Amino acid sequence: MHDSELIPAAIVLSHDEQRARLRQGCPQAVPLSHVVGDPCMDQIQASLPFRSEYRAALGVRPGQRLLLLTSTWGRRSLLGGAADVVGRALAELPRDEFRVVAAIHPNAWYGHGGWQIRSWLEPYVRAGLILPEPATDTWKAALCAADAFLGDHGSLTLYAAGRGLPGLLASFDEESVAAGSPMARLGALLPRVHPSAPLAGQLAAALRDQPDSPGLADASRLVTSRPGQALARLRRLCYRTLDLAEPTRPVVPHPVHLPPPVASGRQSPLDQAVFADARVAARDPAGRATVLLRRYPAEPQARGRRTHMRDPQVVVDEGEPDPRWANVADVVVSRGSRSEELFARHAGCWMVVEPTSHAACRLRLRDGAGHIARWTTRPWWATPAVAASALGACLAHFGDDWEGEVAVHAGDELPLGVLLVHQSAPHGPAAHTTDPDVQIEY
Amino acid sequence: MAGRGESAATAPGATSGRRAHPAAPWMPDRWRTVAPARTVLGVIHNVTSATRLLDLLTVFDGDPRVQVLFTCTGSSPFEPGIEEFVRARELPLISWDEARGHAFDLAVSTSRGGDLQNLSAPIIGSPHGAGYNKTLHREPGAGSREPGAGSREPGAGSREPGAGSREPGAGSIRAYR
Repeated sequence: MHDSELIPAAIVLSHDEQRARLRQGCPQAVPLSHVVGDPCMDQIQASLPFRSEYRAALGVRPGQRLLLLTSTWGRRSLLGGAADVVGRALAELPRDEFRVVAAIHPNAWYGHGGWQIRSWLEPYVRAGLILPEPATDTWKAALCAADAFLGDHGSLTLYAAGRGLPGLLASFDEESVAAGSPMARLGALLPRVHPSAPLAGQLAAALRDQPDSPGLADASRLVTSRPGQALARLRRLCYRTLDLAEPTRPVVPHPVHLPPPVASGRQSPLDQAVFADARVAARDPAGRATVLLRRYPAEPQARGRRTHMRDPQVVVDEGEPDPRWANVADVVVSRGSRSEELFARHAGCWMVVEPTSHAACRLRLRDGAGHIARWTTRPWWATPAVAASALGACLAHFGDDWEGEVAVHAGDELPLGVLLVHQSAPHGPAAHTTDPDVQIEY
Repeated sequence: MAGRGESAATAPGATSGRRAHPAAPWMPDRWRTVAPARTVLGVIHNVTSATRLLDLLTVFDGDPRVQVLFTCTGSSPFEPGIEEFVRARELPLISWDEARGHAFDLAVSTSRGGDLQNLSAPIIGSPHGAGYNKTLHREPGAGSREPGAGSREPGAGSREPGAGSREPGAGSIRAYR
């Protein structure tokens, strides 16, 4: 209302419960109110059947999980008041197992400038964060594609809950949330991100517990009381106001457009330094050695917060510019330089990897011993760097003369990799001209 | 058609130092390729509300009887990004002065910011987020009251319909995303 004169001809509501609140706060407006539902929720529901397409477009690989970070704007938003959770998500969630996408409120994005937001988040983008522009519909696609979310008191938390996505609150501005509103309900129901407990465990608990929560199921129904009908009801209202016959063609929510393909690989030619945490586990039923491997981007790791790793080794590409990782690298992946040069350049390095094909590599130890490793089952995540980490765990466990077959698990849902390793003559000829096995391209 | 012939004697191009959009209802008929029967005004406040506005205006997809024009209220502190948004989507844009100076058959607004009371059109107001969840923190002498703002945007000079205690669901119903 403006100076006692009601301005709108119609007030659109998304749920019947809002009319009850309107009756309390502004009874004069009740006759103008129309419960049409929520067109955005309808569109998200219409998009859910195409979840796998959105995941592929966002670069999510088979077996990976996608975590959605949602931030509204203001100092008490996720980005404004709990931005450390962005770093934690990238630091604590294994990078082969998880992708992380951030949906930032346009007021935060344009309020500081898109360039500035990207600049602030650049270390995380380098570590794998997907950061779409908020003026596009990519956030809706991400909401469909995600497996879990970390949010705040912004609407995306409601849409996430509305579509049944498990999640936690990284921040929540109790003060700005109206008592009795659906957001207040969610704020009371959703767990808060614990500042010190490992994030992966918190997410696993949410994924396990929330689908069966009757409270959350109730709250999810507060987003719209006219599911699927918002555009149809809104069109009726608009055409009635226009005094125009409504088109006979039905109006239905259409799936969100596919996001512009985000390169599923890295943009930098450099493969980011990782902390690789590998250990030998019990042999599998086939009698094969088994390695459990989790890799974490080095960049976002914070000192004093490394409980998510047991005994990580630092793996870098030749050419790693950051001395924090280059100077302490355990494993260096060669980009053409001889292993002797790389051992000389990286004092702490004990293994150099020389890729010989997509599927095979030669691994040199500082004492001159050599191994040849070949992925006989090569899922998308199996690179020479991963082979090196798996072999490192085997050598540490079985001794430096070990050879054989090892099953590599890089994540709970990720396809299994199988690596075949045998010793090669120390200081033998270059891998490119030796063992014909090595030349096989996959 | 409410928009045509009711111009408040505003010369085309007289506002904002640029020519009005040729699809504006007060512009010469001969400039039109399609002759819509109604003109709808989409009111943009900032990028947040604009994205939702475009979602809502899909109800007019496929109907050549309706021309949609857009205007920006100029009332949000979060204006950066609007220009690119408008340009990238090729929105037919008229100035706020032009919008205020003419009548439209319908205005759709996904925000209550700006001087909406100056528009001559039936207004359909919609939230731009998931319903209404934010409290209204009124401060005396306040300028703009961004729907959904936790404690109001700092943008001054604009009034929001529903300002004060007669805000729909005052104290409890606020729109935002």
